[in-house]
Amino acid sequence: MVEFLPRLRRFAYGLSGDAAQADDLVQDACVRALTHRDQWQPGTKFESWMFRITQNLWIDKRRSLKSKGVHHDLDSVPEPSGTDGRDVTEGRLTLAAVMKGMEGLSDDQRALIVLVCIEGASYKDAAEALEVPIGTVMSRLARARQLLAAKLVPATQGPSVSKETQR
Amino acid sequence: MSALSRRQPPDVIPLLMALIDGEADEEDRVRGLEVVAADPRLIGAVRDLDLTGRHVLKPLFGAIRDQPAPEHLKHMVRTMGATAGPADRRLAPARADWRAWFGNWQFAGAGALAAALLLVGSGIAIAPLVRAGAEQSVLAGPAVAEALMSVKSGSERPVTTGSGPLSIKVVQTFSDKRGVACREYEAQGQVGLRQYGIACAEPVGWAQRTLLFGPRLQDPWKTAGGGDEALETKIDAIAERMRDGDPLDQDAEAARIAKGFLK
Repeated sequence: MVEFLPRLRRFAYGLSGDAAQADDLVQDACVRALTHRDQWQPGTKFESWMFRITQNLWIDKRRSLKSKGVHHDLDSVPEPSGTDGRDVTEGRLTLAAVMKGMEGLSDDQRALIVLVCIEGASYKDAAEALEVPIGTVMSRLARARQLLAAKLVPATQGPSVSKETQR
Repeated sequence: MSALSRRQPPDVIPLLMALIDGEADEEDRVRGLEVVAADPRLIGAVRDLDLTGRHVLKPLFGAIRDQPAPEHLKHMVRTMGATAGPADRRLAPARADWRAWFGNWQFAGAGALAAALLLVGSGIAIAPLVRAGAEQSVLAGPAVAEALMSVKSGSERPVTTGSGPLSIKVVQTFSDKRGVACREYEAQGQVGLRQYGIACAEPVGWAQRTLLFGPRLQDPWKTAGGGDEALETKIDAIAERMRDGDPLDQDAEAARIAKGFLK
């Protein structure tokens, strides 16, 4: 489980948009998993089980707080790895734009974006993790990506044009 | 006929997404390209799906991926992973009562207590619960108690318990701050978790002061230092806090074994 923590943190970060909340979420998920380890079925993917637990905890937390939306703390966005200062700056802007764009998505849509597009899970694995049919994964994810893209296009046009003109 | 050829926008969009994500089969891939070429309305959708694809978002989040997990999280998982078990859930509602029941006995934590009870329930326990005068205590079982009476530090002894063979290795002997002799040991049976314990020679018998549980080792004693390093460090630290001065040296320990621990 320790080896899986970085991936789980990334998933939690994608859901919550906040580094501190992500760590709290991961901690809660690990506690839940370890105290309910008998519920994990051998032969199924441990990662999917952990993603599902994390997703459910996040939904519970959101409900209990009656939160109206996810607010991303852009200051908590980790600095991307890289040696070129310009790339670092643009990378940060783009990552921040993605996180901002994800605010408008539903929890289910956000989870799918993180699982499939950031974690690289297959549609089948995502369906297993979120316990929905694969057709639902595809339609929901496609819709989420179109919504996200609609918010990203203006953001990507700025820096990328700027970058082109510098070359 | 492929799935794509039977569909029209917007139903075709999830399948175009599969094409972009590399999850469409070859037939759908070829057909998808034909569909997009024939319908300009799909160009925008393809651009959106491509912009949010794995090849774009995954590297963006690389900074998070490359970040190591915080130490406190790793420590928590390791500790809980070593001490928690399925019985935690069953025991959780009664945990506060159990803590009160044990009074001032210094257990390593609720997880260790739950694990101790788990082992008791599973028949692997060497710490049956008994009433001991005014206080409740957890006493080492007969086989372990016998080993603690005679095994030298650094040595191991196979014993037979009601639940099968068990190997016990004594790590150190010391006097606690009350002047009571205590022994740190490790034990592992053919099933169940590996146990890291400290028991003290109380008037009622060998009372467990600390019980930690970790993953089983393939060969319990063959590899020196092959146990769970975090748990070994933790149990050693607990022993150090309990200890009055240094552990007994070989001669002092031999003398104490000859004299007997329980009076």
